[in-house]
Amino acid sequence: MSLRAATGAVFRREMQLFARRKSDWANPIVFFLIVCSLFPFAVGSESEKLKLIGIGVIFVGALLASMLSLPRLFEEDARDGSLELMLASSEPLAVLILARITALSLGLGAALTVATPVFALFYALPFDVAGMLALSVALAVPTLLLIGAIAAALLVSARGGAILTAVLVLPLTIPTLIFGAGAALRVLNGQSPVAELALQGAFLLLALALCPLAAAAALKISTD
Amino acid sequence: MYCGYCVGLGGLQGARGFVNPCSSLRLEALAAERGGKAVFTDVSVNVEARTLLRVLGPNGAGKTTLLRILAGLGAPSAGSVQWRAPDDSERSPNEAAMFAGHANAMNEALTVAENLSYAAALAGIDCTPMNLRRALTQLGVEKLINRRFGSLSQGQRKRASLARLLLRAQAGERAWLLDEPFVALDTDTQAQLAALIGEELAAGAIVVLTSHQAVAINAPKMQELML
Repeated sequence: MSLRAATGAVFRREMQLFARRKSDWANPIVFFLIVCSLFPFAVGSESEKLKLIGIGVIFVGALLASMLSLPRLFEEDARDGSLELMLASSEPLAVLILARITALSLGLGAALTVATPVFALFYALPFDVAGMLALSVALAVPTLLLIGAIAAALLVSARGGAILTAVLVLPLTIPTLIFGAGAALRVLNGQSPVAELALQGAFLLLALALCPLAAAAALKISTD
Repeated sequence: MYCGYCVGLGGLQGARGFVNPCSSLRLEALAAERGGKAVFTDVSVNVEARTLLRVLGPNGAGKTTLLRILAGLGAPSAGSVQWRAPDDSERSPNEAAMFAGHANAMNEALTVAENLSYAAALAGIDCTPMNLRRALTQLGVEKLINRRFGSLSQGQRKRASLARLLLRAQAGERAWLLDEPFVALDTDTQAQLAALIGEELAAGAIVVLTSHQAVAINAPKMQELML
């Protein structure tokens, strides 16, 4: 009962913060928009060329955009002291962290997923490919946030944590990147994307099971 | 007024799963390190209910470190901390005590009420709107309940964040661990907080306090610990 109250409170607070501070989701979206709109200028307007790079650019853009919100996960709370409320709680820290990432994934994931098919228009991608890309992004954002939470927890009290977080997290997202972009590529080539989607789902489940535990351990180490 | 609440809530104790006040705190040969260097060693003390424990010592003596260990936020390098209930069963620091450190532990984008109910939920306290309002009233900041924390003055922030300590269903239910609580408070509020500490002690709580200010607190029993 108390665990439910605590996880509910963590989830609710994250949602309240998301609604209260527009910059939390507006910044990643604007960043995503800029990345996606710069490439067509650089590559030229041939639609065949754009189609070829579009999937990769949009997927990487979405990954980088969700990276932007990683420092927010614990850093702000560490500064104002509210992280201690979570650390001192008798409820399992991993579950509280999971509640927090879930809320962030829902908010940020929804924003990026909605933006993806719109930006796919820049690259003359067909609707079915754009739809598959949106689905891939929806699966990739939570995976990235889960992996990123470990780095964010480790670097919570380190200066210049944002760059280090990127260095630690981005290599770990390569499998998600390969299969996420791969699924959309399959649809573009008229093949079935099921295998790629299943693998992406498997990565998400693996991250769901392991990352909160690792993040909790990292947070305990870095704040002790 | 305070005792009125004790009596008034007495009947609800069973229904709400009321936890007995903590009856004792026992530190045995406690030692702590920071950055590989010993901060203090061999601290042993027994604290009974209704006791104010003043932790004294110069800057850097490890007062905050000690309080954080008592709150379960840090691990001692040696020795043990035991919070015990009256039936002598051991309790976790989070069930037994509430910690108020230098930082306010409130998010600036959220309202006072949102911040406090979040803190209560994580501390395992069932915080009713009535408790919330009562806690803020006791610190004279009930008008700020729906204000964004970021829009408050420093003194108001401190008061609103201290209200966290008063959210428990019944006075004396939790020990208080206060790290320099009088900083940034005006003289009236200092006296008000001192009175609240006195009432909490009278209701059966343990209060551990570090303070450089000499504020008089009316304590049934007082102990000092020199680090």
